[in-house]
Amino acid sequence: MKTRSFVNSALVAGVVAIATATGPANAQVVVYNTVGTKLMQAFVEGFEKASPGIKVDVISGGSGELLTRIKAEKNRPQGDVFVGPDADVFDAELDLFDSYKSTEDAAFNPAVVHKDKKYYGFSMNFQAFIVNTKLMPLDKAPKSWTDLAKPEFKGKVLMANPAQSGSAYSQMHQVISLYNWDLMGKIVQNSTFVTSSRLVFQNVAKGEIAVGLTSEFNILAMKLDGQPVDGVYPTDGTALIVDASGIIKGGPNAANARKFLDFINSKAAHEILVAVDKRRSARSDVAPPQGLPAVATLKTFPYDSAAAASKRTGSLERFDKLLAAK
Amino acid sequence: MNPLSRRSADPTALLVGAVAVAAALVLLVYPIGRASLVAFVRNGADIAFANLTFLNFERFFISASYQRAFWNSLWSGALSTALATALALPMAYAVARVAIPFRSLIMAMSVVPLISPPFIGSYAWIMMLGNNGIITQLLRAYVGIDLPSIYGPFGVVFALAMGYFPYVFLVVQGALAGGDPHVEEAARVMGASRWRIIRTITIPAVLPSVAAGMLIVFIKAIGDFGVPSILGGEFQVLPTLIYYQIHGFHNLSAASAIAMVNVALTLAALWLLARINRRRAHATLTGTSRASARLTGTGARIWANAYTWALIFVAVLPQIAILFASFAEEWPGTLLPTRYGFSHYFSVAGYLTQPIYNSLVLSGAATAVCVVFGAVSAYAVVRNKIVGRWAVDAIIMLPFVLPGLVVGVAYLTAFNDGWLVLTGTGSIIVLAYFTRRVAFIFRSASSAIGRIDPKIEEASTICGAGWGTTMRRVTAPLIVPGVFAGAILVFATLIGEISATVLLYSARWKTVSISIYEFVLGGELYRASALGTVVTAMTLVLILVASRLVGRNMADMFK
Repeated sequence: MKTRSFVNSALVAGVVAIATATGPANAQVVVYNTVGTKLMQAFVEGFEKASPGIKVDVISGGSGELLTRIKAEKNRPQGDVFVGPDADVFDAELDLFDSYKSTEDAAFNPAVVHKDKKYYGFSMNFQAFIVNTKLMPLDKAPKSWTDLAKPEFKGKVLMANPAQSGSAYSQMHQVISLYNWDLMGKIVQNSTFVTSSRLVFQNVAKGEIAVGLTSEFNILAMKLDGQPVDGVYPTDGTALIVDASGIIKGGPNAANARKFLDFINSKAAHEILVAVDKRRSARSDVAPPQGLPAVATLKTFPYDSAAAASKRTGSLERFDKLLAAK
Repeated sequence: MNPLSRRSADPTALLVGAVAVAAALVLLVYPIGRASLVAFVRNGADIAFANLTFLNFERFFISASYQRAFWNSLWSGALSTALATALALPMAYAVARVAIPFRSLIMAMSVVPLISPPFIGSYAWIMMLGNNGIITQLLRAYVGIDLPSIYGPFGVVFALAMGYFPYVFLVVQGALAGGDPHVEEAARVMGASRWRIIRTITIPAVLPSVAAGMLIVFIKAIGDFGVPSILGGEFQVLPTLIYYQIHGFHNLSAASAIAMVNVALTLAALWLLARINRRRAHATLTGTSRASARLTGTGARIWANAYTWALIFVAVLPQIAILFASFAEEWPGTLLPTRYGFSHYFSVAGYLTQPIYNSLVLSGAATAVCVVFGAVSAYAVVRNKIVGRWAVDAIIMLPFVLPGLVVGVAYLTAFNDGWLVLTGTGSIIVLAYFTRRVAFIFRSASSAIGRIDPKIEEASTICGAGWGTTMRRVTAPLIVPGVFAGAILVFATLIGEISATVLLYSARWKTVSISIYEFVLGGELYRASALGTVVTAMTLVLILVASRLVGRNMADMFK
């Protein structure tokens, strides 16, 4: 009977799957990865060339999803290195990560490294406005955070929900640091909030809405893709948001984790980062990608990721109230 | 001696029963129970009676956004279920009762919305119906009408209905095609009008199936995260709250409390279903030798074809958008891509072998476990050999109702350390998949077993066959068709499972849905579309081949 043979073969496949499921190679390192496949693939190839014999296993996901894994696996960690989430993700959960002074330590400005070396900066990004120039000429676009509260931009600005997106949370924290909750309340009234930060720049590029708040490298990527977009850096100041990499405490391959972190921190890796993802490197000796403005031309202010992490719950509750009252 | 009690004393039956109970305890009760109980303690506290608190439910009384999300879930779930049913019923009638060609193709196409790849499905609605979407632009330019905005409740209800109406269609089509034609023919001979026959015979006969299909749609709709997260904008529903309680705040207790409210909504729907089923008074005859007569009138055939294909066209619009994106070499803010090519397909070639193999093995194994366990427990429940059948029903239905990420977290915390360690293996994915989908098989097996007269089995026993032989030679062959249809749906929908997989997969067992998600995470929508198109096509082919293997076409499987 054919049905039975089908079911039988599925059962056999299941048994084989269960039997052969474990048995990792001897030398490996497990990377919990939040960056895109192209970039991570380049890293893996580079690392496996530099440290032959160590196999890199990549587990990809959003930074929230991967942190959920790390927390749930706390009693028996499965991952070794966490690559690419916002630095305040580390700041909020320092117990989960190990201190390690990387061999590349000297190449980093102390501002982008945790004081106990629990994480090292990976890329640094300014938050900016992405503008669809077909829908809104650049000279009509908002120029500053305060512009976002003006009536002419009502319904024309897209943001991600700060409770659901790390970059959106840092945007909100910038507004509160520079101004106050009063302005944030007006911006909430004016803007539309979506659940994912990716939707913001994708929808602006697709012409769904005129303006969005996003990280600068997304604007550059859309531009290079041929989309009719341009970037505006707020004239009242923008801050560098650092994303980072660190070692998971108690991971299965501690020695290889250190090697991998050293590689991720190396100049070669950061040059790959700039070339593939068009982001600013957190290393002091790697030039920003072409197409991003020099830091000197922008009005900037320092972003305190530890403060952002400690105020997070309270700020998000306040935001939730503003949104619900809309 | 009563043959029933003699059979239950059979050692084979006892062994099978014991294994099923043990499996249910370890795989369902333990992880899901733990995950449910954390709703009643503070986040991070031990599950103990001393820590009992209703703090996590407090927000439903004090937070405006929680209350809004609750009502949003309720009414958008109800409305999308109503819309899905309204869309599906005429199509089910058309396919089952009107002579239209290409029925196998129609059945296969109707499954497409259920297997569309994760995340890009909702994004594809934006590409088609967004403010700057392809259809929106075409309608604006050539017909002069402006579509309502796809963002917000309208888009969510629409996309949920289009995504899940096939459940109602498949179930009701099966019931319509499988019903006994003699009753309706008798009515016609006695001079009843066609409308009267539909009203007094056809509708009452399929009402339980309609209710069952609606229940699935409702559960799916109020548990859906992808659609509201992409199309909802500020329209928050319970699953989006759960998502950000888990992945944003890592507050499992709060997330579990929201999930419990979600479960309560579903229980209310289940209660409604039970009421509808209780009124079902007509007898189901078995062994009908022939199919219902199909209408052959020109008018009926024209509307049936037009309606069916129009609905299918709208339902596969996202897939068409994904197809465009997969061939797009350049798409710079124009109506359609400006240059087409195969480069995205070439660039995903390396992802085709191992991840697809993994997905097939994991989904196939999970489907097999579902079939064995689901059929055995359905048999036990229907033949009433165990006490507390409602408890079995609830235990099996609960994880089906819980959002995937809740099941994922439950499995991860239950099996990462302690007496049974499964993380890092393929089996944890198989078992989590099993947990999430066994209700499907359980339900279809229950209805199939319910239609078998116990006298057939008793006859076999009286003739001297043991319990095992009776099962193997008599009962199993009779329920296989019903179970097989459910198994195909389970398998096909597992290929795209993402919310539990992302928490449980290991490098060795990376599925193709994760590969697609990785592209989405990296903003590579074109490559995600190419890989998604390959996977959808492959799944469709597998469904068609599998239905050939058992010697029947898709159209007959959902009887």
